[in-house]
Amino acid sequence: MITLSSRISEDPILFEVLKSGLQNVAEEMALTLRKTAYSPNLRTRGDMTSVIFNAEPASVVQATRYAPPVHAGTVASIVPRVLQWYESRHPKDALQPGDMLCTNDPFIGGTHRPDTTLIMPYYVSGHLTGYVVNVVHHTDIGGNTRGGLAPDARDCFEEGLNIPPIKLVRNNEIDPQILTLICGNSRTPEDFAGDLRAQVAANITGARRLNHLVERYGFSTVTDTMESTLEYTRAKMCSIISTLPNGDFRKRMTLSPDSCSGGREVDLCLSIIHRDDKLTLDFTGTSPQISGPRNATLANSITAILYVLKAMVGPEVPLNRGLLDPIEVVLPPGTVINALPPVPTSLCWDISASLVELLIQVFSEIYPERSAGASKGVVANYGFNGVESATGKPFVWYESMGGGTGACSTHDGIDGAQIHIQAGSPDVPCEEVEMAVPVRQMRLQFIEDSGGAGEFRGGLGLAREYEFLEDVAFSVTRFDPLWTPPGIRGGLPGAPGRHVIVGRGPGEQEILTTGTVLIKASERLRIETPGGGGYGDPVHRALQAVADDVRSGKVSVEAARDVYKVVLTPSGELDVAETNKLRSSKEEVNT
Amino acid sequence: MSEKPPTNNNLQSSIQEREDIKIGIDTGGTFVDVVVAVGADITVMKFPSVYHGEEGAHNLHQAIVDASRELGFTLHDVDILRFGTTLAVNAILERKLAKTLLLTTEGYRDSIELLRQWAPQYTITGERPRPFIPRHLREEVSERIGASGRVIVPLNVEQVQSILSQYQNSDVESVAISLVFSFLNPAHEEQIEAMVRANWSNMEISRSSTLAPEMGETERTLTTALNASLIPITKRYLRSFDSLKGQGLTCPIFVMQSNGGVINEELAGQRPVTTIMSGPTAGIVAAGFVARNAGLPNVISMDVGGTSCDAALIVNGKVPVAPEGAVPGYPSVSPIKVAMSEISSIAIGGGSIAWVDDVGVLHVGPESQGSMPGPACYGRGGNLPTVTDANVVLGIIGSSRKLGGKIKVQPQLAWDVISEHVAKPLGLSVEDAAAGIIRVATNTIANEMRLMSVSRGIDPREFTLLPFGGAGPNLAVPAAAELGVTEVIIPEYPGALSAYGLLLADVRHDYARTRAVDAANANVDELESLFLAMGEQARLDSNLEGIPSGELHLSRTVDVRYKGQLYCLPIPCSNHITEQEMVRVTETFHQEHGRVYGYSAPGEAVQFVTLRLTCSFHPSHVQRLAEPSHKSMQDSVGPVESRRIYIGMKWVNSKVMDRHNMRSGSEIAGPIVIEQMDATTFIPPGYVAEVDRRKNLRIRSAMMDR
Repeated sequence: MITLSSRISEDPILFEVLKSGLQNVAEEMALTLRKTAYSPNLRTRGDMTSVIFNAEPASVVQATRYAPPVHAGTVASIVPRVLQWYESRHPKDALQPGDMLCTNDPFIGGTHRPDTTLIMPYYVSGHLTGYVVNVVHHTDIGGNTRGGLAPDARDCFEEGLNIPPIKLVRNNEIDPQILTLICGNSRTPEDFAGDLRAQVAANITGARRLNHLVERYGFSTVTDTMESTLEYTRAKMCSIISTLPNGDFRKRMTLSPDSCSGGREVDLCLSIIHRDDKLTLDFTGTSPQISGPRNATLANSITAILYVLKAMVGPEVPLNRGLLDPIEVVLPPGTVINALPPVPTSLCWDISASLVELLIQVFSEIYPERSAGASKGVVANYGFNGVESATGKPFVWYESMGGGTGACSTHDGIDGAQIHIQAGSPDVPCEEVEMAVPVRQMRLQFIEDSGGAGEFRGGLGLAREYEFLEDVAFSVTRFDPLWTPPGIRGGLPGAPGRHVIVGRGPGEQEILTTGTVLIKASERLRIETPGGGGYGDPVHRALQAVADDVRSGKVSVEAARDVYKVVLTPSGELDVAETNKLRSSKEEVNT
Repeated sequence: MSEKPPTNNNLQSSIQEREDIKIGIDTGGTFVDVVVAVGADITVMKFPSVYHGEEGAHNLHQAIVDASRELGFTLHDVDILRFGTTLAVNAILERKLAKTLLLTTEGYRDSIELLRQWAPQYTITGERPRPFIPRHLREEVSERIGASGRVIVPLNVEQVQSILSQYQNSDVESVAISLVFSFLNPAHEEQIEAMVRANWSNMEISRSSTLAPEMGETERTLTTALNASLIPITKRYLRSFDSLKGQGLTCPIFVMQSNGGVINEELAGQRPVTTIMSGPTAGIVAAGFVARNAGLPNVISMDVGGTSCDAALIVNGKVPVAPEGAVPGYPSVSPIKVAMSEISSIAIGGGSIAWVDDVGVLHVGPESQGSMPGPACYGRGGNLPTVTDANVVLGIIGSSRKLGGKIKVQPQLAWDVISEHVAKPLGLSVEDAAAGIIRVATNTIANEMRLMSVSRGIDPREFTLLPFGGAGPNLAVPAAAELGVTEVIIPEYPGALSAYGLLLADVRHDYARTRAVDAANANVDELESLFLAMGEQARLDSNLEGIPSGELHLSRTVDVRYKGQLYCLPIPCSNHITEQEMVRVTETFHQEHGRVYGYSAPGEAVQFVTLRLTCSFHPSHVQRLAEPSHKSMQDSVGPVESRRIYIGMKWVNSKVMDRHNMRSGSEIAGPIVIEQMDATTFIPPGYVAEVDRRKNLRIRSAMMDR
């Protein structure tokens, strides 16, 4: 057992009670925000998070139940930088109780322009005790594309209004003049103002609930518990680090060129260096930032790291800076994982999703307790718009898709799922889509043989087919044709994803790359997302599991025979004798 | 059955006067609870649960026969028999669903496995719950209805026939039919149903366009698939009641549903998907009844069993019912389209396991010892410390009387497991460790209740806590203190409240039809005819249940939203739709949106999405149960014993009283333990309690009193 400071061991019961009390305040902030939000997207999908910081400021607890993981680290990295930036420029207008700072600047701790953070210092009897903070993805903040996800943006100024850290709220009231300015730059001003008010309400709720805890348990007990909560998470992280082998563990992931990258390959490099109790995550060697908007900011990369660390330590451990404290992180500035102005960043989450996969691949090698094959590794979003010919009314639709997830040491990956930083974002039913926009979804189905083979199979990728009833402009960030989510411990990679216009172009199928393309009414688009990587050697897969996969159409008879070395009779029954023959000949080849 | 109920004499005299017998039975993992009502007189009995799964019906039969012998009535005297069941939910959790074939639109067989592409968060090794029907039994047919309800691709009849032939001699027990946009046009589903019937004369069939004709192919198909795969199991279970009918039982049998109402056995066999929350719902119906009669409009009910605490907010005396709800073990983003009481399940129960992690922090739950092996102190082989073991160490649960009249508590076993697994690792005394377990458990309950309240825009401190279930009353006061709630009300029979609730429930059915039309140019006649069609279905169902149409209460609502939104607000509407009424519904929607979400947009297009009809029948016997009991109140006797309990970091002497010996009107002060056959209540120092005229125990903070 790891020994903790006297504060926790003196009264472990009170610690557990107050730690979950603090966690509850963060969850209550998230709930308040979602309940009072204006835009449907925020209320139903909850693209937001809420966090409580200590006075240092280090993040202590973060909503994980009512907020999805996409913002796992966006706030953690933002607050110290924003405060420093603000204080150095406005020394005469320091933060007072009831004040809140607002920013969406990707280069002062933010991500992309729609993600807007609101920071409120929390005082007890005049003492700065911490900060209550939340971040929300707003519907529209201007820029050259509605919604702000602009694959063709050339710099950050084409991505909408920038809000450097400013005091937007004084004495719990939004400054009406600044609000007017911001809303004047949004295509959806009511959404922006309404969601901003929900952000203010969430911070006020957080401060009020912290007051209740202070009244009940006393100031020093609450502030001590904040410290011990950090310490608890830190101890959990250290306990994992202590089990890792010493050494340098490196991996490189190469993304093939597209219009976003200015025609260059992009390398993501990670070295995990472990020397006794010192762990370093070094991303040196990663490519310089690119001309298109797929650049990730520091906050995006911290999100990927915190997400993976939190998944490693387990559900009962609060998500806070304690995960990072025992680790040195090197994210070289000016690269695609820590971009500097003025490059565009609106599609920043793609690189974050890739980083999550890179981290899981390297950690899987050295921390077998939580190891799995890779998953789709991109956000996989697309959108289309057009005009209804009968009415002249414009329509627009955005969507992202899940893929197969990596298999692990005890079970198969999940077939067709929104995973990791996208988990918790539900797909819209086809009946809703078709009643809203002139399109017909012909199928949404698993793709046979797309999951990486293994003792445990990677999850299957998804195929979606649209038939358009009007001409549409279809915008997409492409699937990297070279990204086949790797398996581990002998597991094979999953199939790559692609976007295809069926019946057009060479071989009757035109593969789309990043950008916007016109698709005619009655043409058909097929989207295939990647499958997950497998775990372990396919010839060790249980025979019945292979037979079941064949029976349910997840694996073909051919793949069963060629990859899993399992022979089935024409009626689908296991042919045990033939299988044993095939599998033993494979063993001989191996030995 | 070891303890004689105190009201036996009254009941037997009522029985001799040949009053009808009404029976409510609830089955749990440990006990079968039976409530027998004769007029306003109630008797509560507990019998051990012996059988599980589909065999569990035997527990009910045996309990009914035993109760009739004990109380001296014959089955022929019974005029109402209602039961709550965990059959459906256990079949789901234990994957014991019937082998079922799904027929669905080409391209869509994976929707019930995708669950809207859900995956668990913050895990590298997550899993999704398995689908109700495995993929190889999900067949696609070529056909398509479009978003306007028109046929885009005609049904390929030959293909359907060839699929059916393929399964002709298989052991498939049930067929689910669910096609895209069938809620707008059921023609293809009807055609397939006719073909299935022609193929198999006795096949069980569920079809989405009659069962759940609402928008959302995933949810509609989930509902239909689950219903189909529950039908054979449920029918077998219900058929086993024939043995009671052979012994003279003639009354109809009703089953509790998730919507807070009961359904008769025949309809339950056709729509078992409405019963998946049968168990927890009955208790909440009773909680609402107790609260209303006690003059408390706003209560939080807290039903603590072996594995979980089911909590509900009762507002203005009503249990909120949502038009859809999640299946236990499945994500809330893919609910089933079945009306369900809004209940939050918190993973803390008497059997929840306390454990210390590798850095020395105490946790309670979510793992549970359940009812088997149960807490260590039951002596059934449980070797991990639980919440109940902690209460035994603290002296709150005593060992002198058997729990539920059946289980002998062995305190030493509780001391041993808490010592080994909690006290030693934390460096605490065993009693401090036990107090810690209770504190962490009640804190978890309070935290979850607070979030549940916030998500409905309610301040829990304005509510009264109403605990029940075997472990509710001994955790209630500390949970209330954590939540800032100042009053706790414990009903007369907290350990059998669910069985009591069965007697109180209305007969209820919910119907729905989605159209998703713009309010501005909706066709009044079409909407009215949809409502009338639902009303006709309600009358058919009620006739089958023996309820005259004239006694039905019908109420209509429309789910309304701003066009483009994905969520709706339910707006009640009158029982006859006119142009004027549509305008009124639209205006009410704007106001309601303003009230709930803080803004409205009168300029925006408004959409009527789903029409809903609720049909209920309020049985006349419920009114009699609301009257204060005629039972003679026995003289109050003093504490039956005195016991040392550990509270506030020290051992103190506490009075121990028998609940049934307490007289209404006199106030007693904590610390005091109140025992009864079905539960133990603990009143800490600083709290006072009294029994009200309906025999509820009302506990208040003494500080608040002054």
